[in-house]
Amino acid sequence: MSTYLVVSLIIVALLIATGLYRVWAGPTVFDRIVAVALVSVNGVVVLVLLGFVFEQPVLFLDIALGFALLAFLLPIALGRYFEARDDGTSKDGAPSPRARARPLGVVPHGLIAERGRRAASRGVARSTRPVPPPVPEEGAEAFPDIPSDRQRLEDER
Amino acid sequence: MIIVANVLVGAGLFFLVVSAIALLIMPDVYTRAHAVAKSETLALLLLFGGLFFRPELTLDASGLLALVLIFSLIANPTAIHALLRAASRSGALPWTVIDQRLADEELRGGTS
Amino acid sequence: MIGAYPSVVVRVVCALLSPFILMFGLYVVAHGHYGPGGGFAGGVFIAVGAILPRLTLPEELAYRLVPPAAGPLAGGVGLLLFLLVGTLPLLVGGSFLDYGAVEIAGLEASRVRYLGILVVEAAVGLAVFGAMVLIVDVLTGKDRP
Repeated sequence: MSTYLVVSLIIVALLIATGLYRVWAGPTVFDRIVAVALVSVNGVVVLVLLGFVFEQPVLFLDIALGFALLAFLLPIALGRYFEARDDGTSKDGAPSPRARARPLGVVPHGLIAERGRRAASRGVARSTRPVPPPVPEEGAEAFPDIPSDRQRLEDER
Repeated sequence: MIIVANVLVGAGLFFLVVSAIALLIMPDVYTRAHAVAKSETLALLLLFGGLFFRPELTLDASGLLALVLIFSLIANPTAIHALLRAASRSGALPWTVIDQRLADEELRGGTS
Repeated sequence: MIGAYPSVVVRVVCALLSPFILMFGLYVVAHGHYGPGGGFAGGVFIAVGAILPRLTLPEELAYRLVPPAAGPLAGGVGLLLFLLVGTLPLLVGGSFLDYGAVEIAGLEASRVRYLGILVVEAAVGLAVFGAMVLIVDVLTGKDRP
């Protein structure tokens, strides 16, 4: 039982709490998954340090290795889910349903949200915002370029 | 020996703390994931490398520790890469300076 | 049915890691007496080693590595093996899963109990592996062969 390792164990456990805050508050779903990746890495570190504190490293390292393996599957599977299948096109070249769906990650961060609130308070109706370009016809590019933020700001004026 | 272990574990802890703070204060998903992927991987390398010098480590435990280390070094960046690729394909916008300047102007009620 | 992962990094790393994950699952099943784990956790690890190629590799390659028939087959064999070994002591007057009651010539009761626990762990691992692979195949739309 080493005091140094116990103190570092407590520090890493506190870092897990900060990661859990990002899981709770993350604006987009990808922020949450990245935070879950950090939490799982810190969990592996906690398990390894626990093994050294209790002086039973083999027992806890088995658990840590299994936990690391299972934590590896989660981002791969979720990335698989959010990724457009087969580069956005099915076999006949048409855009897949995922490519046609509304982009998931477009959640405004703080400044943009504040700008939106200011615009709403000035009486600018949200519906005057131009609608996004229509779904490309077959044969068109599956992922049209996302308009830049400057483009969106100028469109809004 | 124990001093080397303590120094390496302390360095690893420093990088773990850095990546956790970066996860809290960075503005968008790309910078946060950057912190998690690179800093955490370096922290794991330093921390587990330091644990190799601890006296509690037996021979079979050192093999398992090397397995955990190698697996984490390979798997952690790959997982973040898969996530960020999916995020970019789903249209998550990066945080830009131009964006912030325009938003500041608009907050001051300037140009429009 | 879901095709290859579009990123070459993920494809290569998953193809590299999945056999080692499968081997770790076998280790956990066989090591369940002494360490953490056992049949259930080991079955999950073996299933992860079979599911990662399905998520990332081209489907012909993934289904050649672990064919879709492996899911129902392993699940059924595992369940049947568990029931057979579990009810074997009932036939000789013991209770369910009480392997010490079975008398095998040349083996003492503790040794028989050890082997019985090992076989039951392996059976549980097979059943869990089959169930998880079957769930993934059904969810990704791959019909039974």
